[in-house]
Amino acid sequence: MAPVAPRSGDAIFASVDRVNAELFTLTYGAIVRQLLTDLEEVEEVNKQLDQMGYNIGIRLVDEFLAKSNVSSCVDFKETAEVIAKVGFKMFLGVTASVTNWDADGTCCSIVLEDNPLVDFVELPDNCQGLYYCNILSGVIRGALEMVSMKTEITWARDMLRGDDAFELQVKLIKQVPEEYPYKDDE
Amino acid sequence: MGREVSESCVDSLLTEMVSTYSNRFYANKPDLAAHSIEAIGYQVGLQLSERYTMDRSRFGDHLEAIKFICKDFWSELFKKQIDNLKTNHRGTFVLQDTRFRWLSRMSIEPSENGDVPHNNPEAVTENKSTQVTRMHLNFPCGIIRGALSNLGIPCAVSADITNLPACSFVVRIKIGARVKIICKGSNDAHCTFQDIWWELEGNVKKLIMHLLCFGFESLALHLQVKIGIKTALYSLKKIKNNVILISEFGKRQSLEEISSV
Repeated sequence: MAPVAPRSGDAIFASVDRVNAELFTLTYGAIVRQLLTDLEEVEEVNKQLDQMGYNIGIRLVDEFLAKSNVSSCVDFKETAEVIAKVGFKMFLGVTASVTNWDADGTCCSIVLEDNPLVDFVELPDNCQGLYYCNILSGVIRGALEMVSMKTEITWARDMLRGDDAFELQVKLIKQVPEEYPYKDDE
Repeated sequence: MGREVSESCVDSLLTEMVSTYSNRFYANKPDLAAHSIEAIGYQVGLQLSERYTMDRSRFGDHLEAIKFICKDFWSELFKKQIDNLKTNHRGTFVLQDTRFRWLSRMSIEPSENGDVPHNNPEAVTENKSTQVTRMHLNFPCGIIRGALSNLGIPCAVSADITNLPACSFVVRIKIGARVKIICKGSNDAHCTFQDIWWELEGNVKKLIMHLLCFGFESLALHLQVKIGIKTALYSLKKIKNNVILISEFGKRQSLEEISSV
């Protein structure tokens, strides 16, 4: 049987169950707010948002692979493009772009100009150290780890801090060779 | 139609939020976890209700506000209405969704302790998946409480999941007794009529006693009474000149179905 062709982000987004984004945006905002109340330290909130994202990413990757029919990407470059064009689109309904590749193709930027997480959001003065969208970097890190890519992700630009876009710098640390997850006798 | 995101975004976020609070932050303190999850829902309900009622006139009574939650509000969130609404006409409303979306998408695992003796149902401990379900439901309960609170209706909301995947949300509005207050001897000599926001009959009796002992002067007090019993009693102690007569309205206990929902 011929392999199933990968589907475009638009096609997948059109076919999945969707909900009103206000619920999502406000829920995320309320979670950040509650974390700030419960944890008090902005640094700790950043860490927990990243951890929550990571946990989501390692689960969401299955749905991503199942719905997108993406076969293994040949290299990190292709992987980054798929995340930006298919991943962001099929879940958040927005498209990101990939730029700023370094010479050896292990570090790039994912740029997001439209981000549903920050609709109606304005950071108060006492939250200036907060990476409000830190859950996104966690999701990408978690998802990539499940396809054997260990990455380090940092925010280069943040619209809530006055920049003109959101920019995530994704650095590939190492690519773990894929292992068959079960022993023979199981 | 406004902006949309994939439903799995919301599902993943909620699952992770509940797991963060109930398994990581407060693994041994389910009450604290439930409280934080409810608080997150409350905030969401407050803001959503604010947005969805922007172009509306005020609701005339509690039933109108509850119907708004059952129809418009629920449709915005779940693309369907509440299936059944009941009330006892004394501030308790039961909103049933026969197939609550956030539960139907959760995997309900079979009971792990299926061999519990049937002759002693009291001893049956809740299995793990029921506990997880209950923890999740703090979020929609908070949403309903927040939405009604934004409409000026303080209440308590709990969830009943005895008929999964149906889910009933029980809303108890803090208006257990409607109290009629007649002021004598004050400037507004005849009759003033006001709802007093108080839940418990025992406390209403206490309030009546205090009102009789101390009396009150003007309508300004009504506002203070609404705040709650402690503030009200504190204010009452300062006022001593007038006599007040109070009678409680009749009560109807049974839940009556409201067919028009």
